[in-house]
Amino acid sequence: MAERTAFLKKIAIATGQDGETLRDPADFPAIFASEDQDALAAKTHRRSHEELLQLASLFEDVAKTLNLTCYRAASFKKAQKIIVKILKETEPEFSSEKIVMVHDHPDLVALNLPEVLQKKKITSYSTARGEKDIRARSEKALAGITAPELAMAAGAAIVQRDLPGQPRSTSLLPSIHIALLRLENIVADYDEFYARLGKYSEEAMVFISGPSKTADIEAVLVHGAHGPRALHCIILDEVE
Amino acid sequence: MSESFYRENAKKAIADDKLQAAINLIQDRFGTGLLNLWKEKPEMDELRNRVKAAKDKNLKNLDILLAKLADSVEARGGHVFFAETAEEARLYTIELAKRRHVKMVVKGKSMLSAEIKIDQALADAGIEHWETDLGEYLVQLDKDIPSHIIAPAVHMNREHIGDLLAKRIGTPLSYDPPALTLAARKALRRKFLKADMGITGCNIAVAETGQVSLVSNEGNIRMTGTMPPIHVALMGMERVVANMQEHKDMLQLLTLGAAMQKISTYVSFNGGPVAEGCPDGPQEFHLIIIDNGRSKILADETFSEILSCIRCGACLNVCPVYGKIGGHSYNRATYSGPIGAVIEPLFNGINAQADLCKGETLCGACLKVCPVKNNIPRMLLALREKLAYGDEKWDVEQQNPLEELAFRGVGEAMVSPRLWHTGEKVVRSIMKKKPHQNDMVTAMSGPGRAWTDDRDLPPIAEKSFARLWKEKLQNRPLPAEKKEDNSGKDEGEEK
Ligand code: SF4
Repeated sequence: MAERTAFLKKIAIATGQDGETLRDPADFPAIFASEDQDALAAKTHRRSHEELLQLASLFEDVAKTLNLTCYRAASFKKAQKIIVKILKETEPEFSSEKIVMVHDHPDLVALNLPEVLQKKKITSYSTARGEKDIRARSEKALAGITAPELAMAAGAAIVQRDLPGQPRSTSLLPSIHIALLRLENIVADYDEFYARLGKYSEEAMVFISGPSKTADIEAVLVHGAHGPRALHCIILDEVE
Repeated sequence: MSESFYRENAKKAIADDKLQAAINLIQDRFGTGLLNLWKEKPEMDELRNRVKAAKDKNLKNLDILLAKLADSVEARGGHVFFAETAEEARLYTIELAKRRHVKMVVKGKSMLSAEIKIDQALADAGIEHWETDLGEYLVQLDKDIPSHIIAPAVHMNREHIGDLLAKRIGTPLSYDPPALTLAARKALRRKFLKADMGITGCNIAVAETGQVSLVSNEGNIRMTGTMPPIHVALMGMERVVANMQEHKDMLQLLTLGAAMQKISTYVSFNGGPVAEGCPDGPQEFHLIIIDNGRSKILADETFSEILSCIRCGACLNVCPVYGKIGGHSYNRATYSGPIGAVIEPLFNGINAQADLCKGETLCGACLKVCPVKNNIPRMLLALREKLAYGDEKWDVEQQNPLEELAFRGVGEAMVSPRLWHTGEKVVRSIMKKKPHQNDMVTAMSGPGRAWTDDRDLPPIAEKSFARLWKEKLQNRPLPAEKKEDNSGKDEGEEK
């Protein structure tokens, strides 16, 4: 605490104050004031299906430039098929078996993956609370599957929050990342995106906009630096 | 550091075709690209001005913002340490590492970590440490230092890298960028999984939420802040914004400025140990807020603007000087290019780093491209003025008293025609005796040599303009004065 006070006093003096007493942030709310985002956030919830489809197209266009592969699925069944296909076509990188880590999310539970994948000799593990060896399994995994609850079309970015049952490493350690994104979770641009982030921004979180990449060797773009080498995004447009 | 060090290295770099080609590639893609973007999208101007204004406000209230940030991080269960000097920051980190029996540290690209020389401290403490950004990893293996803020290994070509990896980590010899990247991916993955501590920088800290946010494309920074049980984030004290709205604006400028990206591949927000019930993430989080010379800059109106820098590296990508001499020529300082030419002298002594600010051309490209419109040319001139006349506050010794004397002499002569003409005659007669080619003087001696070493000098005319005027024109017959009245016309055109 002593070092904090001395440090802040030095800054106070540098900004032209006398440095005798420190200013209390609580006395200066204007410095932190931001515009109310609720109206904008509400607007994003009122979009028609038509408008949402347009946003999905924009998301896909941007995704193409980022080497992020997009799919559309009209049902959970369809999404499940896409996932199986991706997993069948991808060679494991960190182990000889095909292991898949699946976030604990109702939409992913609905995919009924353990049963379907088992038939294809692919082992799927949930990352739900109480599951064991999540880290050890993730280190060996071929794929991590998540269900982001918010995405920005203009940057083809999805959000992953830090929640129990949804470890950060699921989108980081496995060789590839598959995201199941509901159509209605796509918003247009930075403004809408941040408006919707709201409370999330008090949690640890990460925006992800494509597979990990580098251009550090002679500016040649290579996918698969330290994170997943591919990102597949399945846009779920459920028509009941 | 002597003047010759800068010049020597600059000359080597200029003669290095491969280096020139590598820098050209980056400058064309990112530098020219960004200049064009600003031109094509004038609406971006509003965003740039907004960020600059927010930066301005935040710098003026930095005490409040940092107090709030520290409170917010602590409320999330993180630790905050305020380090006035690099040494305090090093000590805190090393003591923490020792207390927790840290054997291996992974680092996520941080310029500040180089600025405070944390690597040496870790090595002295017997702690293994690895850079994990691919470029920085290669530079580390090569026992070299980065030469660009966002492209640390721009000075290394694929042959060099292939040989290096084969020799240092035993990968099969290859000169193929994807194969080389894969080799590094494998080698570093083991380190991420084994490390006891991760050290990152901080791109933008949000005071209100207590979040440190970091951008990367490789995912190494996410790994560094997720896999090891302890995460230490080093933060330059100016890198704080008030709220998420300011974050939103600044993030866009940062990723555009750095690599013309709408958003980088990963933007992570961490500000404390992992939340209850979450299976991964660090158990311990430490934020070290570092001054190390910044408050002195903040207190000086002439230079405080430089603290608005978001370290995007865009100014390097347009700078004709950086483009020719490369990052290492800047006295192998942590920061190179236009931004380095301003902050290195301020951090490490204006005399010691004089060449950095004198080497830039004042062409103004950095001001044009800088997302936050930092007026680097103005600050370069201010630094040079201190070198020309000396300065007590910044402890600057006048670099060349003779130069001041000479210019005073010229000043005197300029107001005394007699003195001026005598000087003219003397110089003219000296020039006549020097070697000529195509009517240009090709070799001067004394102080004139510095000029003719690199270019020719036009000789002073046989007859000066003043002389010609006197001889031919002064007494010429004047045309009859026309009666002209332009004022009415001007008025008519004004709308
Ligand atoms: S001075 Fe401007 S262009 Fe240069 S690194 Fe800083 S913010 Fe970027």
